[in-house]
Amino acid sequence: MAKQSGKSEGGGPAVLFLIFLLAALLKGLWAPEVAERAADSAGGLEVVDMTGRLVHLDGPARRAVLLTPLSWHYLTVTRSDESIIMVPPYMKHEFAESVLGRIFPALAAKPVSIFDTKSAALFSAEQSLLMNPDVILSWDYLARDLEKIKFRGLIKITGDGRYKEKLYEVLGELTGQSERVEQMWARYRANESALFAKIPAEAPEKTLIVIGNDNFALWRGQPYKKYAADVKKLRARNMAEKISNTSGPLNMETLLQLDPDFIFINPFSSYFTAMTTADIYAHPVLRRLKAVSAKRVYHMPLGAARLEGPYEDYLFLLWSALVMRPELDLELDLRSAVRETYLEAFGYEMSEDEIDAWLRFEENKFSAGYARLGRPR
Amino acid sequence: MFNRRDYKIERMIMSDHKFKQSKIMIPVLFAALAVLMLLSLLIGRYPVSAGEAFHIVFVSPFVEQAATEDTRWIVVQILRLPRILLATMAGLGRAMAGGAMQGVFRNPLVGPEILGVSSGAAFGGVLAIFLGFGELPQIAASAFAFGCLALVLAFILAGAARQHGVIGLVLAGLIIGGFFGSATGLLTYMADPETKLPNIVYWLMGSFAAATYDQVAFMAAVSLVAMPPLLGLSWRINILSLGDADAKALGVKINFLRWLIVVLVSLVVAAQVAVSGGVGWVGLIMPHLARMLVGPDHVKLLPVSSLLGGIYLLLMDDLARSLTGGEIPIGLLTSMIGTPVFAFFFIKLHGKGWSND
Amino acid sequence: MTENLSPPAPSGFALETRDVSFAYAKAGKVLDGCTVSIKAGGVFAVLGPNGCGKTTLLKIFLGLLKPSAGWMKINGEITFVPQLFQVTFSYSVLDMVLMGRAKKIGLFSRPAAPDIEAAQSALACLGVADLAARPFQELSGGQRQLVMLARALTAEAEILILDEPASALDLKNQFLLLTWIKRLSRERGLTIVFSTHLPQHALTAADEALLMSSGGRHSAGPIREVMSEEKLFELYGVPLKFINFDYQGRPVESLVPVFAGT
Repeated sequence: MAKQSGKSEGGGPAVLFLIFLLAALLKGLWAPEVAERAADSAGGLEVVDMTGRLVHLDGPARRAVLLTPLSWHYLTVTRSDESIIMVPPYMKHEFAESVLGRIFPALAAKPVSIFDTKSAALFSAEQSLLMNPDVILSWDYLARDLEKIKFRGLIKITGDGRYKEKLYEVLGELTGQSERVEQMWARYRANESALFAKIPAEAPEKTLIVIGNDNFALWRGQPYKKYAADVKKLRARNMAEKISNTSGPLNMETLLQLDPDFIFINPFSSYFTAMTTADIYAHPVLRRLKAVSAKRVYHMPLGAARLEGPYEDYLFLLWSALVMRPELDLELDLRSAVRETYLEAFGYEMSEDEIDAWLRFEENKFSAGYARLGRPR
Repeated sequence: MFNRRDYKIERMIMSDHKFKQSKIMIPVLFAALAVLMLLSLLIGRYPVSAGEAFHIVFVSPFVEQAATEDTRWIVVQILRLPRILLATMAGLGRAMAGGAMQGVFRNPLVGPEILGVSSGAAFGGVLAIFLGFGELPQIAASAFAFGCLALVLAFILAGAARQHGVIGLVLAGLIIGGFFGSATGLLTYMADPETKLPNIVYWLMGSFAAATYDQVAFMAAVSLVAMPPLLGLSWRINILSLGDADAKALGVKINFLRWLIVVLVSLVVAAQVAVSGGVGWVGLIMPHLARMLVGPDHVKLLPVSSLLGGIYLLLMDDLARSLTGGEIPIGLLTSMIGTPVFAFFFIKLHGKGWSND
Repeated sequence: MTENLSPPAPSGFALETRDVSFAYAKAGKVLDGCTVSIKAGGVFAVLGPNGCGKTTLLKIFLGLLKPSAGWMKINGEITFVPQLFQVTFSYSVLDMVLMGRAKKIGLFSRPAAPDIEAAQSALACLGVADLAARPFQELSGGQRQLVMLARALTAEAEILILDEPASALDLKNQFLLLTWIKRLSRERGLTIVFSTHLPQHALTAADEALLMSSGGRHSAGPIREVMSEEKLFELYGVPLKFINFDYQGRPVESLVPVFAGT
């Protein structure tokens, strides 16, 4: 009669599987460890990255791979693109569209990592070993394979890293520019306070929304957290604060209900939206909004990329104040401020045409009060 | 549309020759997998010669205090080998699971995802990231826990409806899976697009890039617990696939057996999602291919399907990490490459293995 | 309510039921107080028009359904040959027959040489050994029934239950199958229970029969006693007549329906 045995007999395949799995298990349990590499020279640099990790470098970064949208901040800190050896592909857009490309013409030719997820580049560990940079700046969740091999120059950046002073601190330490970073921020804070001092506390509050993409998603203030807070000091309120989703399509009725005083369109056209003020003015539904009828729709300025950082942030605030508070005679010369800023930051002389482009003057000139920001006759 | 050539191929496939052929197929596939694993040690952007690679893997662990500073050692031992092991095990597990599920549920459209375990595990991972526990072990633990939870919930649901039959299981799985799927969607919607969302999306796409030896050990342990019993049960799956009434009449305890298989499959699936995020398609397609090659007898089908899955996923991961300087998400590759390959086999082998009743 | 006793009861019955009743939900009672004793080693026919509960009774024998009242006793291993067979996968005939060994093969085991031998000899016994490698789905109805019968034989059970085995077959195969039923019972001492709606089948193969009419009325006993012309007329509403004649020197008894005009 037939056998009644327990385990599978005639299970030749099962045995082979067992052997393989056992081998894998043993290998997994008796795993080799990567040794920590000590810093080579005594004159090494210690940097604490944004997740609190201590990173030992031999010296200020000379070969940097930027895998996050930080090129602008990095360049602000170093004033030079020499040490950048690789950028993510979407940066090419920013170089092409903005004055960044003209300040740093060599950037357009830098190698790009092939893949990105629109917010970062996926870069293989082996590739990074081949290129042998001293420093790789990467989002923390994409850096796992670099962590595995204990790559010495890995600087992990966390998500809200686009604006914080913490980021600049890290960049400053990385590149040996800590002093300059401190000075930048000190001056920025001074300018900021001076501007806010000009806004009387009893000025009537203005409301505003910032349109983030073609679906009319509203920017809540993330990533422009600081912008939201600053805007309050200009006695204006970003009405999207209470709205939870910042990237999905917006219900039009919400827009009609909010009925803000001002409508801004986000600055990065190729990435998020190709919308212009003309589109808004012509939109059949939006015609009812008071911002539209009073011609208070503006496309935010296009700086050298993202209008962030100690230099551009202040310019952005200036612009916001001039646009939103025309009734106050603020005696601010935006054009001069723009010219001086880029001259000081990068030694770059902006022409009147470039300043117009920065202001998006051709597009915005049909909106209320913008003509006075035109070039002097 | 009957033509000479179809007839000939059909006779060839259906002949006795084929039964003997399938006896050597399993060792051949094992050999192919072994060869592929060895070759994978050499695939990658960083140049490592064959001699160096084999020395690093097979000699250095036993011989010396290994040169663990040497870049090539790091590349082979830390970057490549864990990935190779993990991708192989993931493929082996999922493909075997898919074969078992198709037999138990008597349905060609079934993959190991059907019981909602995949969705539950995906939710677990996303939840961990959403709540700020972004470390790999935390994500893996959460994913595995929620994968198992999904199964338990499906079991309770089926029990409460007193429907332990096939339809009951499928519906319970759909409900639970759907629930976790929408919960995942909700978390994705609410996630901070700057700090959390990209992390979530990237994890969901699946990747072996972060493979560590801890994960290898975990996956191996779970596979050791689940896969040999599945192989042992493979003959009984034949009987289950006849239908409830017939299987019962043949003396098989259908509900117990079905749940046992489901539990084993779920362990494998939950573990795989926990270590590498979502990797679909392998469990659905490989059993079909295997069925075309060796027929529907699950005793042969499960090992062959499993081996095909291991080979396939390993190959996909090799491509993912070496085609470009970046990392291609593996979920994309498996569907992009898998679909035409499968279409080719489907045409060549006339979809053999299924009854035309 | 149902029991499977061993050692065998001294009565020599393979299967006994007492007062078994069953009703499907929302339908009326299909079985009402059914009492039947099936002798070991004989062929037993369950006869009745369609819808009178034959399959239900068989399912109760097999333990697939639970009666709402009454009890049942089975002495021995029991196995089943279904009426129609659809299969999802293209298993070979040998694969199908091997599945009959389910009770004899351990949970984590697979068929070994003895199992394969049993399967092959069952196929050979029924004269269909050459079909072993063919896919089951390619077989004709008659061949499928024989293969299913082989599967039942492979199980090496003492009791075989067949659900309308000859009903979907052509004339020649009907005869073939019924002959096999009789032979197997004689040669191997198997208890065979089969259901049919054609009284000729019962007459051909069975020793005893249970006549079931709708509403649960039934009568059981040796073939010639229970299948009288009156009882059959009551059951079917069509007059039937026994006729005797010589065929090639042998006396033959047959049952013919009387249609108007013939």
